[in-house]
Amino acid sequence: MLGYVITALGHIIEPLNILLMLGGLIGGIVIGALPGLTATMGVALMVPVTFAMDPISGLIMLGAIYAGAIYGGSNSACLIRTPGTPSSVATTFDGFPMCQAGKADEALQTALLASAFGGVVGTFFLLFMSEPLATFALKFGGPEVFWLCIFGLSSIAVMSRDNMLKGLLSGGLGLLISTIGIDPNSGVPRFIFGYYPLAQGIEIIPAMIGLFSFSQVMVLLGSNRQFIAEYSPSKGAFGRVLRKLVADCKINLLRSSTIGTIIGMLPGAGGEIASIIAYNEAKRWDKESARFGTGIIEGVAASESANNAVIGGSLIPMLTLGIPGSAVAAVILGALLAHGIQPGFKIFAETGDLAYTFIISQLAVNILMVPVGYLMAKVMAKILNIRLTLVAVAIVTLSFIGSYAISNSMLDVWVVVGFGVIAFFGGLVGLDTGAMALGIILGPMVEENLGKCVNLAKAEGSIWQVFLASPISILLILLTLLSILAPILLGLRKKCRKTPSCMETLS
Amino acid sequence: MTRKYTDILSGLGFLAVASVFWSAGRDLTGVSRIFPSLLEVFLALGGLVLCVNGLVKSRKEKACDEMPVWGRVWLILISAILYAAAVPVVGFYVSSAVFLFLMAMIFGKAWTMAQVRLSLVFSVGLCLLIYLVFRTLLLVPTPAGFLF
Amino acid sequence: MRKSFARLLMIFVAGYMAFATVASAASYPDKPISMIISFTAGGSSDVQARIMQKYWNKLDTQPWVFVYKTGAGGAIGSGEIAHAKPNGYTIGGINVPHMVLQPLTQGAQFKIDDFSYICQVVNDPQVVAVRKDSPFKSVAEVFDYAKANPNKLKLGLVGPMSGHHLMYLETKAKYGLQACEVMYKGAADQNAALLGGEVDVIFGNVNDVMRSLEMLKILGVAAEKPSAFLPGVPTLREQGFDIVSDIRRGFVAPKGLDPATLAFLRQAFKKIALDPEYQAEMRKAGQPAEYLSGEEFEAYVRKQFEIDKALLVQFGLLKK
Repeated sequence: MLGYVITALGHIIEPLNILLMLGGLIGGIVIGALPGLTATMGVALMVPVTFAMDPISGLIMLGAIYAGAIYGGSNSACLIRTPGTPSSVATTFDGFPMCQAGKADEALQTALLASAFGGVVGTFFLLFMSEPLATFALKFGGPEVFWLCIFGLSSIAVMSRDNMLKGLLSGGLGLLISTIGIDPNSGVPRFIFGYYPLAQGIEIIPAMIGLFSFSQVMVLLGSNRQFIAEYSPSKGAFGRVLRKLVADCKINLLRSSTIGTIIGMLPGAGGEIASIIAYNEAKRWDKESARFGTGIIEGVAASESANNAVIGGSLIPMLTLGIPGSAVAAVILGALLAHGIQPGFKIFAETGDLAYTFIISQLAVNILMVPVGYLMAKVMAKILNIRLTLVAVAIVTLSFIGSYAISNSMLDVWVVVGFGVIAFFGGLVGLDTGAMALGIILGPMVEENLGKCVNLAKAEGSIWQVFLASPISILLILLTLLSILAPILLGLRKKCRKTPSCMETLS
Repeated sequence: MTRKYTDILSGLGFLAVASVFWSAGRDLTGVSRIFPSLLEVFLALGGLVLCVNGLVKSRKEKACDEMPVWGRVWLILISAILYAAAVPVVGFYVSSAVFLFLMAMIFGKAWTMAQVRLSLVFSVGLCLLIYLVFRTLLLVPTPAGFLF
Repeated sequence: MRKSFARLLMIFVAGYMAFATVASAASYPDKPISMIISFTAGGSSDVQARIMQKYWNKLDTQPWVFVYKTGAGGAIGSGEIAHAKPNGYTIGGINVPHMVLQPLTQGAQFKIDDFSYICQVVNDPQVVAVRKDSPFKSVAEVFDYAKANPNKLKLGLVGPMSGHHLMYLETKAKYGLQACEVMYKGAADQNAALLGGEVDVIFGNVNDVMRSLEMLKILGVAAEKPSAFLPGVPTLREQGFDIVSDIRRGFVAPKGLDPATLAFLRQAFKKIALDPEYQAEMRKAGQPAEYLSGEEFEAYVRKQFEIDKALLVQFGLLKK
C-alpha cells in the first residue's frame, strides 16, 4: 500500500490535478451554498466533462466537487437558515442563531473546520479500514436498517425536550406525508388525491426548502427588521474557533465523524440522517444540553463533521463492492463504470493507482478546503450586509429554480410553497419542523425495510425472529430504548437531587 | 399567543390531517394500509390530547415571542403563489424579473427613483446571474412559457 | 409613416415565419434535443445514454440536453415523453417491462401506444445468482429445494412489478415453486442483501451482478443464448427450464412524429449502435448491448404486453 500512496502523492501534485481540485472545491462550494442545488446534481452534471479526461483526473474533480458541496451547504444554513444541501439541515439549528447573535464568522469557521475534520476522518476509515468496514456494512439488512431508522426517529424525543408530544406528532406528520406516492411494498399509488404527478411522492429536497427556507422568508419579511442579522467581521474568529474546537469539542467531533462514516457506509442512508443523529447525540451527551439550539459551536461542529464524514463512508462500499453508500457515490460509481473501471476488492490491486490517488486526493481536498472555504466564507458573509427584503425575495426565486432543477417538475415548486406555508403557520403553534423533516426523510426507509421484515418472516416463521435475529438489531433496539428512557431517567435524577432522602435511598 | 391556544390549534391541526388521510385511504388494502393507519391513529389521539390539554390546563405562558406583521406575510405569500402560477405560463425569467422588481419596490424603503434603479439592477442582475449559472454552466433548463 | 412601417413589419414577420417553418422541416434538428432519462444520474440507464451521447456528438448535429425526470420507477419520465410535443425535440430512454407494467398496475399516465419507437439498445437478461460459498450448484438444485420447502427459500427481487417479479411469477406458474420473495428498491440493495446473507438467491440482471462478480456464483442466465459477459454460464433452457426473462432498454419519442424526423432518429441511432467502438465501450462498461430496429422493438413491446398481462391476471395481481 505504501508504494501506491507514494505514487498517489506524485499524481496529486500534478498541476492539472491541483487545478481540478481547486476548481472542483470552489464549484462544489457554490453549488452547495445555493439552496436547491445539491451535491448529487453538481457531481452528475460534471460526469460528462470527465469523459474527456483521464479517469484519475476525472475522479479527483468529482471528489472535490462532492466534498465542496457538502461543506458549502453550511454557508447558507448559517447565514439564511436555508440548508444549501439536505445534509446541512441540522446545521441550521445552531448555525443560524449564532448568526443572528452577531457571531456569523464563528459559525462559518466552525462549519469549515468541522467539515474538514469530518472529511479527513472519513477518508482515514476509507484508506485503512475499507475491507472490514465494507463487510460490516453488508450485515445491515432489512431489520437492521429498520431499527436504525427507529433509533433515528426516537432521537426526536431528545430534540424537542420541552414539548415532546408536539415533537413526536410533528415527526409522525412527516412520516405520514412520506407515504404519499407509490407504496414501496405493493407498487400501488397512495394518497395522490387523484393527481397523478403526486405518484412520485413528496421529494425530500423541495420539502426541506419549503420547510426551512420559504417559511423563513415569510418570517423575515413578517418581522420589521432591516437586516437578517447584525454583522461586522470579527477579527480572529478563525483562531478563536480553532482553539475552542481543540479544547472542548474533541470527543464531539470524533463521535460525530464516526457516526457520519458509519451511516455513510449504509446504502440509502446519507448526510441528512447522519447530521441529525450526530447533532442529537451531541445534545444528549452534553452536560448542558439546553444550550443546543440557542447558537453554540458544539451544535454546528457535530452536524458538519458528520455530514462530511459521510463522504468517506459512502465511498467505502462503493469502491469495494460496487454498492454506493449515498446518491453522490452512485453517480461517481456510474462515472467509474462508464470509464470501464470495475469496483470490487480488486480495485485496490489491479487499479490500485486510481483507487489510492482518489483517496489521497480526498485527503488533499479536505486540507485545501480550509483556506478556500475561509476566503469564500468571508465573501458569503457579506450577504448579511444586503438589505433583508432583497435577500428574502431572492431566496424565493432561488428556491423555485433550485427545486425545479431537481426533476424539472413544477410540482416541486408548489411543494416548496405548500411546505413553507405549513412550516410558517405550524411554527406559530409549535410544530417542530426539524422533527417533521426527519419524518419525511426516514418514512420511506422505515416502510420499505418493515416490508422486507414482513417478507422475511414468511421464511423464518415469525416476525419477532426476524426483528431480533442479529446482534446489530438488538444493539439498536437497546439504544432506542435508552434514547427514549434517558430523558425521563435524567429528569427523575434531577428531581431527586433536590430531595435529600431520595439521594440516600439511591446511594 | 398563549400556550393554551397553540395547544388547541395544533391539536386540531393534527386531528384534521389524520382525518384527511384516513378518508383518502379508505380503499387501500392489505400491507399498504398498515403504516399510514398506525400514523393516522397516532396523530388523531395525540391531537386530541393536545386539545384537551389546552382546554383543561390554563397555561398562560407565551409560546412565541413576537407576532409577525400579517400584512407583509400575506403579501409575500400571495405574490409567491401568483409568481409560481405565472412561471409555466409566461416563462421563468420574465416572471422572476417582474416578481423581484415588484417585491423590491413594495418592500423597499421608499418610492423614489433611486429605489426604482436599485430594484431594477437587483431584479435584472439576479436573473442574469441565474441564467449564467443554470443555463450556460449547468445546462439546466428552466420552465419555458411563451415568453423567455 | 407608422402605418407603412407596420405593414412592412408584418410582411417581414410573415415571411420569416414561413421561411422558418420550411427551413426547420428541412433541417431537423436545428436546436438541442431534450433527452429525458427516467432514472437517477449515474444509474445504468444514464451511463448507457452517456456513452451513446459521445457517439451522437460525433455526428456533427445538435447536442442532447439531459433532463432527469425520476420517480415512480421511471413512470414519471415515460409520461413526460408521451405527453411531449411530437416535434422531435423531446426523446427519451424507456425500459421494458416497466413501460408495460406501469400503465397496467400503477395507473401511469401513458400507454405503450403513446410512443414512436426509435430503437432498442440493451438486452439485459435476468440471471439466477447465489454467493460463492452457497451450497446450491445449479438452478435445478435451487428449484428443487424451493419445491420441497415452500416459503423457505429466501429470494431477493427488485420490485414489486418489475422484470424480476415477472420472472418469479413465470417460474411459479411453470414449475410450481413457492419461495419467500423479498422485494428491494434497487439492484444495489438487492446485491448487498445477497452478499450479506439476508437472502439465499437472487434473480438479478447481468449488468448488476457484473459489479460483484468475484463474490457470486451465477447458476444460469434466462436468455436465448449464453451471455458474452458470463462465459461458461448455461442458459436456463439448456438446464431444462424454459424461462427467458430480461430487461430491455430503448429510446422513444412521442407518438405522431413526422416520418422524416423519425427516420432521421432511427438512422442516427442505428449508426451509433452498429459502431464497433461504441460496442466495445458498452462491453467495457458491462452493458449488454443488443440492437433492434424501431419496428422490431415496437413488436416486442406489444408481445410482452399480452404475455405480462396474462401472467398478472393469472396471479390475481391485476383486476381484470
